[in-house]
Amino acid sequence: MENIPKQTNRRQMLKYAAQAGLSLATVAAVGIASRSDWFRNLLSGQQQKSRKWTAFQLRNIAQQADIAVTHQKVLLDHKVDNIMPWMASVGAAVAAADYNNDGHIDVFVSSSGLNAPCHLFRNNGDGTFTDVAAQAGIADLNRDGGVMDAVWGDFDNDGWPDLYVVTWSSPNRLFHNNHDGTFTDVTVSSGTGDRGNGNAAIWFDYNGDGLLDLYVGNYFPYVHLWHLNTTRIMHDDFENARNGGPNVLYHNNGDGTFTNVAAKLGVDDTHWTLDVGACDLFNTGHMDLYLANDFGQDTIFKNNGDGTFTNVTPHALPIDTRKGMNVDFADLNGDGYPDIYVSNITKEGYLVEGNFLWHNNRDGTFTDTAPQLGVDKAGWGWGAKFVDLDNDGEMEIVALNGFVSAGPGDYWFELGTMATTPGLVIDDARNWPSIGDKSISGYERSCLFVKQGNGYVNIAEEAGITDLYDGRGLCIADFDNDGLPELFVANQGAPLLLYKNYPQQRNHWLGLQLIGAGHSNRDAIGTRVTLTAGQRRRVKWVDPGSGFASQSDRRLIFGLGALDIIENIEIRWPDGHVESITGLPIDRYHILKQGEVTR
Amino acid sequence: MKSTINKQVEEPDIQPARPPRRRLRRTFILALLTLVVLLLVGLGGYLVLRPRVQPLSLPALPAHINEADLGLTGWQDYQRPLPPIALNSFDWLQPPTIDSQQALLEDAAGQALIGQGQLVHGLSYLRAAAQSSPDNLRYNDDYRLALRDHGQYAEEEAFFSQQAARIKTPNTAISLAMAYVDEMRACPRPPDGLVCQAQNSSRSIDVLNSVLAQHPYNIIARYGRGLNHLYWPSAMGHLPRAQDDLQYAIALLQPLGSISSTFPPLAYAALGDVFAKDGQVDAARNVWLSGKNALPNAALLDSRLNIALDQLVGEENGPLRGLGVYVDTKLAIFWQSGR
Repeated sequence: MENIPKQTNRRQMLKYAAQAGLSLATVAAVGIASRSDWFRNLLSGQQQKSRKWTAFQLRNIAQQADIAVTHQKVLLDHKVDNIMPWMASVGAAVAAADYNNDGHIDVFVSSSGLNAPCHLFRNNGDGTFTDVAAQAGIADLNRDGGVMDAVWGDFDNDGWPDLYVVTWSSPNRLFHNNHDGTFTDVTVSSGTGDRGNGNAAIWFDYNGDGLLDLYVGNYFPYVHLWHLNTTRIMHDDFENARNGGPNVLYHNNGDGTFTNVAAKLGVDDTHWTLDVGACDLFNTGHMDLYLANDFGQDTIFKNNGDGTFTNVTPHALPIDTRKGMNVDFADLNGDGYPDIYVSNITKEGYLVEGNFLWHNNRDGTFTDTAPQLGVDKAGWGWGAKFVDLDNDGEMEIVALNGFVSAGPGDYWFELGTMATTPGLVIDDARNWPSIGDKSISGYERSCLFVKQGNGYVNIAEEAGITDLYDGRGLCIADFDNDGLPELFVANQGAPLLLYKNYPQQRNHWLGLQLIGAGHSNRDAIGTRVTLTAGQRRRVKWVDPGSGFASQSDRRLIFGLGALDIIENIEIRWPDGHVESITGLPIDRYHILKQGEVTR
Repeated sequence: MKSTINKQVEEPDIQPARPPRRRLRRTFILALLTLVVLLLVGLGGYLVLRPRVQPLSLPALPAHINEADLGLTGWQDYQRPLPPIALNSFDWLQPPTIDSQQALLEDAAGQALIGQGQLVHGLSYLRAAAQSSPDNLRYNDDYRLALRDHGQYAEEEAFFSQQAARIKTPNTAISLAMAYVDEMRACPRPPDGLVCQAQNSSRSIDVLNSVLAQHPYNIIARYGRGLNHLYWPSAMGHLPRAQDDLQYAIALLQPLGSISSTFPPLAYAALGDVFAKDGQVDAARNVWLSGKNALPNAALLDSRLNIALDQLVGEENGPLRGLGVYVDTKLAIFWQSGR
């Protein structure tokens, strides 16, 4: 080819120069943009928006279900008016059980205001509920004192759930189920009317005699909160308070009476217990106690298996000055040892404690993995539960929050100043700054932590949990028996919520209702079930009512994902007997009675 | 290509081939233009990205602030090297005496004994030195830090509380204030123990408030109180107070100038950290750059300037001034030679 000389005029030269300048300017602009992370942020934002969580589409169906009632708060002695929003911040409780044995889970819901009726929502089996508390005789419980918690348990093993109600400043109440939709108050004859100011109770058989005993977590000391002789009723330390009311352990005597053996057994803890849970933490076959204590160290009482307990807290847990509010258990890695989720308080800029996710080290100790897994920051925590919402075999965590949602002012500054002022006598309510109409960690959105990779992400808003109520009791129950659990939320001074999950894709599942016999309690509380499918172990325990102001459905649901064959189910009953079963059809519930399982 | 050839054939006389000289000139102009563009882009980039240092807003100080105002009377004494100690001498087996003439020797002996593992005996010598010269910051500092480093926080608070109650001087008060800061190490590690830590910090601030009420130009109290405020959770509103104190600390560097101490970079670092913790990253960098202008060899400020911007924003719980980061209360930074 012939070499042809280029013919460039001045205009072309200027054009080249301009192009060169433009190119350089572009390079410089890209350089500047990359330095400022603008481009990267733009990309990540787009990725964030495009993420979808179709397996979790929760909708509040409270209105359609006819449970649209609002919790009423307590109003205590006017001597503590300056901090009444704080004092009246608990009491919204919810407890689930099939009280009438019709195969549908019913629910007891508290209210706490003077003469405010409590509710017993009978499940009609058609997606609606009917409040039958008045006919049942368990509506009018707020004449003296205020209802704080409730827990179902068949204490006489007659096959019908009885109800224990925890109140402030009036005797707790025990209601015996009459098998006809009504209840009889047996508080006095049973001797279970503790007059403390409790917030928690569970039924469990601590001594293996086949009878459910009752552990009650008390909060305030023994004062009458409606008729105070003193205003020195508050915790005396924000990080290590031990001046709360002593907890109670009612031993079931088997004749309809109970005896408080807490002091004798050394479990009369005086921390400010907000929640009590029990599970076989050390894989000994016995249920151990975990106390979620406000203002200081949580407590673990190890069950020695001989009717006694040992406080193993110093060995089992690191020092904890946090504000324990809730405890729940699940085996996250299939090793047969329960891990523990505990709600605490997080308020950015003031108090960033974070919730605990205690990984069970299987050597009697626990390590907090919440920060590394991304499940620690959940606001002012309350009820929180493990739940497999989509039956894929992975546990999600639902964590309620929000303390006092009121006016635009924020009490945190006053609270922080008071807490950090040396020498201030904080157990005297008069020394607390007035709260007035201020909010305290109000209007917080609950968290739904979903497994993603090696951690969890909070998808509450995307999944449809959009309310900003002050959540308290969280009950997980399958009210419509479709194998997908619903979330029943009791909110403080606010309406109930019933979140139903509408996933696009349905996974397989297996439901078990267990009935104990022999030396096991009939509710089978404490039973460990190990299901093997797809060469993976899943372990669950029948729960005694763990969780702040709540009790979930005691039936066990195992999410199987795409697996449609179960290799084995092993059941270790509370009395130690072990049975195995194979070949159970999936996607349905099975009632398994101890001694009649193996095949 | 074909059309080009045709064009050449059709218009042979319109655009005759240019002589080499003109081509050279054209190439030169092109290169020159490119160079100019490059220079302009470079200049523009520099103007956009260059670090700009704005003058710091500092409090006005009286004209003649002396060493006494700064709280560093006798700093020359503090700089005296420790005398060599022969620990095998019989003298050091005896209990120490409370004698200000022996204080420097006892201070040296105490440190040497602790270095040899004789903690109790060594502490008794350091205590004797501090007791014999209660207003001497150096002896107080050496005893206090020895207690701190061996976890004897209760003894530390008890000793300096008694000393501050007995001898009411700024230096005894400052030593007590530092003891409260040291005691924060006895609290559970954050996120636990925040109230415990904050209460100790409150005690320290209270003591330093009383010092600064009487001696507003005491640079040690200013810096100590500023640091106390700096570590609080930001929503508690302490950052403006930290800023105020640390701006004073930087302003006081000028009268401190005669003492060639290691302190100045620390003051700039801390004031920048105030802004960083508040999310004012540019203001933080401006403080550190100002420090670099004043102290070109300050490696501490280099390390601050090398921190990625997004990490600075997360300072609230971060490793620099986040909750639970232990503060080194060694006061020798004010008199130990830094040059």
